[in-house]
Amino acid sequence: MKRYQGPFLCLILLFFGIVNAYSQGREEKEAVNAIYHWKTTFNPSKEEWKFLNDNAVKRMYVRFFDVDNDPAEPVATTIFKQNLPQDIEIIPTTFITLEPFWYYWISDSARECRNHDLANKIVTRLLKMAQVQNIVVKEVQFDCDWTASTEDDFFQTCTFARDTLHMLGIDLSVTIRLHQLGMLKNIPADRGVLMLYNTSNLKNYSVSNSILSYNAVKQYLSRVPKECVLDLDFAYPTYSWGIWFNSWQDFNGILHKVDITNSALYQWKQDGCYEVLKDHKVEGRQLEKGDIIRWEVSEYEEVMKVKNAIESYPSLKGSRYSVILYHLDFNNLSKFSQDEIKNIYRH
Amino acid sequence: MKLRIFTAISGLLFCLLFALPVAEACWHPGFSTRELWLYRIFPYDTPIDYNGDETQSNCQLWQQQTSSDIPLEHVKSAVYQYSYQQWKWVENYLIGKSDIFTTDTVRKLMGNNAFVKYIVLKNDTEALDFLLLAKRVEETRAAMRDPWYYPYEQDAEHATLREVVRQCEAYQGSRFKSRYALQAMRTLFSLKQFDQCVQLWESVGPTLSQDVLYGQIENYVGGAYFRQGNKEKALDIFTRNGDVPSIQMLGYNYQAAFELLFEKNPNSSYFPDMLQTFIDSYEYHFWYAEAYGADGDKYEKQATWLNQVALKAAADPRVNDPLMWAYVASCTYDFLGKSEDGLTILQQNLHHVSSNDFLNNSARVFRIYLQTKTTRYNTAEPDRFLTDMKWIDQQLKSEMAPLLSDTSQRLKYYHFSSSQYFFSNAWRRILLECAIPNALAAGDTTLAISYANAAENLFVNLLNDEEIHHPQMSPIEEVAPYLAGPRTDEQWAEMVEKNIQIHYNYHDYSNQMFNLVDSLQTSTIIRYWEAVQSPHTPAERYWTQCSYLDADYWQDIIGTHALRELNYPLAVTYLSKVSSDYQYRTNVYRDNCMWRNPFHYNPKYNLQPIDDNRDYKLTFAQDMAGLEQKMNHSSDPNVRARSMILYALGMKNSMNWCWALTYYSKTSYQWLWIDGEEEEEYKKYFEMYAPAEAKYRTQVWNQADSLIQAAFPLFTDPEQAAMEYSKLAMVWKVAELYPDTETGRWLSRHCDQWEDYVKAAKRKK
Repeated sequence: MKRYQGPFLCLILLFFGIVNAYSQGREEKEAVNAIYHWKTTFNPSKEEWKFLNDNAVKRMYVRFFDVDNDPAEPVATTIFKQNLPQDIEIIPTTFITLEPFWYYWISDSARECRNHDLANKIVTRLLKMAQVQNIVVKEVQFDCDWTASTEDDFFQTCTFARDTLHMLGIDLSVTIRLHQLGMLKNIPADRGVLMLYNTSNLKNYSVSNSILSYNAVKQYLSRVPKECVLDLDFAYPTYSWGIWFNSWQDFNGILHKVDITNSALYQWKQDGCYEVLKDHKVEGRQLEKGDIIRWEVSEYEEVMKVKNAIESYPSLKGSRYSVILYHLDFNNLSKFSQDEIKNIYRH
Repeated sequence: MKLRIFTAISGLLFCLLFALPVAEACWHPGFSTRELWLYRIFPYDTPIDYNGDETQSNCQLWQQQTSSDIPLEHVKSAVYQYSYQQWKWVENYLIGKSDIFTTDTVRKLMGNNAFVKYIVLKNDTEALDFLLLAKRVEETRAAMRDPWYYPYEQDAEHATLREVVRQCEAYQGSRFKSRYALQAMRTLFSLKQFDQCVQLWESVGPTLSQDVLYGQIENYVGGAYFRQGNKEKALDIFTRNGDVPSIQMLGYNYQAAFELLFEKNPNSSYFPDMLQTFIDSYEYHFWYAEAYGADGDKYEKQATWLNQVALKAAADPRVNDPLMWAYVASCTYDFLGKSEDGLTILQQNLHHVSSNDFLNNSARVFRIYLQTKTTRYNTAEPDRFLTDMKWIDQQLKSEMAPLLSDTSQRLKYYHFSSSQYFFSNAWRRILLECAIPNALAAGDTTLAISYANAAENLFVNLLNDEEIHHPQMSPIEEVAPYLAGPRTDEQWAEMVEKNIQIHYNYHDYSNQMFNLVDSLQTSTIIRYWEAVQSPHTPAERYWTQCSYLDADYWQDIIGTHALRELNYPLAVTYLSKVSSDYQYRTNVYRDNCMWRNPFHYNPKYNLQPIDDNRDYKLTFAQDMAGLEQKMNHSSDPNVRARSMILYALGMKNSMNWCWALTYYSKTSYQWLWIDGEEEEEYKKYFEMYAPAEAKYRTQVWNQADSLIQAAFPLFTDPEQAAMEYSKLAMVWKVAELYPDTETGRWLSRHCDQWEDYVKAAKRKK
């Protein structure tokens, strides 16, 4: 692969350089309705296409692959069973775990080489996949929940990636978690997406809703810098899931396809928690009598409360910010009315 | 009265001699002999390489197609290791397009590799064109296997492969027809054009030579048939080519695939490497289960399965090498605890001769092992056993001869705990695991020691490196000052600064022969020593010749055991034959354990160095023998009493703080009379791990205490009695019995608790 990588990168540079020379290159971002596609198969249903159309979604962040393991490699590459739409801006996105950055005991120069190589590989693959899907790329996104110990490596990787992308007239954006709000000025990216979901630790039994809680968000708002040096877009949740605990309150996993309304199997206890009434399997996993499922949803009122709070911070919102929903899945989106979706998108 | 006391003491000491732990009948090696790997179809260093034959055959074919003068290694290196870029330089050089760098590089390649030289000098562009094509395919396929590769029909990799197919189709020659066919097949397979693979095969296959390339092409065709859904044809090819992983792909589990392969192709070249892999894994896991008490159930099932398959194969008339299968059946029987059955099947098949010379030898070794293990071969048929062991000895020497030609490098072949050489392992395993227990069961301890000595020293004798028995040490004059007393941190630092070298002997005091001998009585060891001085029979002469018989070493062992058994006159006899500088070779000396005064009254509170620690053991033995004389024969009762006390102290201290007098290592079980709970903990461990030894030492300790108690009534001089009590820190006794002596008066002025003792004594009265 190495033999081909260098020349291929040059070809990619040439291709995208030419294409972007005829497009508007690096330009100021238009504020649009946007959405994430996070499934491993790109095969939207009729209803999902209709949703995109009805809500004038103009931008879609599509996860192309994750990056995991050490040495780093792409995993869970998305399979495209349908073509990507040509009338929606597609932003190839990759989720990078922390594994590729965990090798502490190497020299600084070796780390720099590793991060440079990683950046090259990610960019090359994202752009190649985009080329295969015949889309014009103006931005790519890195999603990573970096920590204090992996921050330097992640930022260096972003720096190398951004430098390459800029030569092609392409921007780099990164996702920002609430606890990273204090570090905005150091992030080597052109834009950020503030993820206003997964606001609490889902494995904590005493949390009532880990997807979104205004009270949890409120605590982080104090870290908002007076002057925002990174343009941000905002992503809000529309999904729901079941957090599965055993009878000793130990976290067992996440369930996406559990029918919590089945009273023969589940009994409501309190605060969104349901007790499993008898042993059975869900998604190939064995639930036992006495287990607890904490059913969490993205409450519209909670989303709006957080949205209003965010929008009341002038330093947070740039002159042009987009609202992004997480994520394109009709089962979850159908739980919101059309007006509710419009209100979330309004900006 | 005093005579009765003396008689009682002598009787007790006499009885102690028979309380010694005796281990002859139930000795076991101190490690699992399963780790002396024995089950081999190939020598240890033969790599398992299912494609090994293919690589070799392909290189030989290249030789035929170019020049038989080219060494195979050069062909292998050029064909398998050189890159596309390197061959491109050769091409540029040949067509006159090379710059200075390329010219220089190619000339170096020619200088190092006869295959490259041939291509260049013969201007063999046909071979060069093919090699360039093959390297392109190789590198392109490697790029496509990279996890970062994203397949796309229009990408450069696919374009390259399509171009390769066109080039292959365009080849009109006959010299490399098979080679181009293989590259075409590989390429079409990578392009997932399985129908074209089959079409190519059907058109070209019948015209190809049945050589190594044909088999490689067939494997791809098998894969293509499978992907077309034609499992029958795929299975036919995979079994013909011994491709078990591909058979598994058709839905068979490993064992079913293995049996199917045997059914269709009983002489597949796949089997020897696979059988060795199985045996290796079983050998390791059964060793692990024995050594660590792990669960061996899973491997029992697998070994049972392989045993059944091997038995069937050994009896199958289609099989060319029944000995190999019989050997595997025998090994698996042994793993499963059915060694007798293993011996039977092996003996029934030893008349078959394998084309694998090593296997013929390995089977003989295994027969000897099983026979010794199951039939007491060494005691039932000693002459035949001797012949067999001599044969192993010869094989070991042949195995090691090429390695030992450089005498300066011999020590590197010595591995302190285990050997890595097949015949050395076989030698040790047969003797340690089987022959020695057989000899002990027959009551012949001398023979058992002979076997043990040969087991542990034959290989060492072969290495003939003095460093093993006499590890390096700086001159004794430099070292001695640091080993004559407790070593301080400053002395440690000084030794480092002066680069004073002290190396330990990892062989003589820790091998299995030493462990056996160390568990025996002195009389048994003497019997052995006397026997080896004058061997009578050919067998005795042979075992003696395989042994380590350094006089100082053996006489020191005998003398030390005599000290341990409190037989001081005997100890003097043997220790006086040991040369004075022998003790400097021992680890106990080098470890700074030979300086403590064995007659110190209170070593619990501080250890006192002896004035002169040369001849440490002999001096102690002579002192104790002298004290025995005095306590039995002196006319002065005070002298007798003092002698008894010193004698008792010598007994106790030689079993504890001055253990270097009676043992060769301070095991972790030895307790050192430390205070309170720690003492009890150590004692508990000692009693758990070495109960006989713990019992013996406790008895000696208790008897010594009895001797001390018995000594005091003999004193007629109260001053001497008081002084002895005082030295033994028994101040309360001085207060009770001898308060008006000089010692008593001194103590009354210096001891805080004197008044308490006096009051207690008065209350007693």
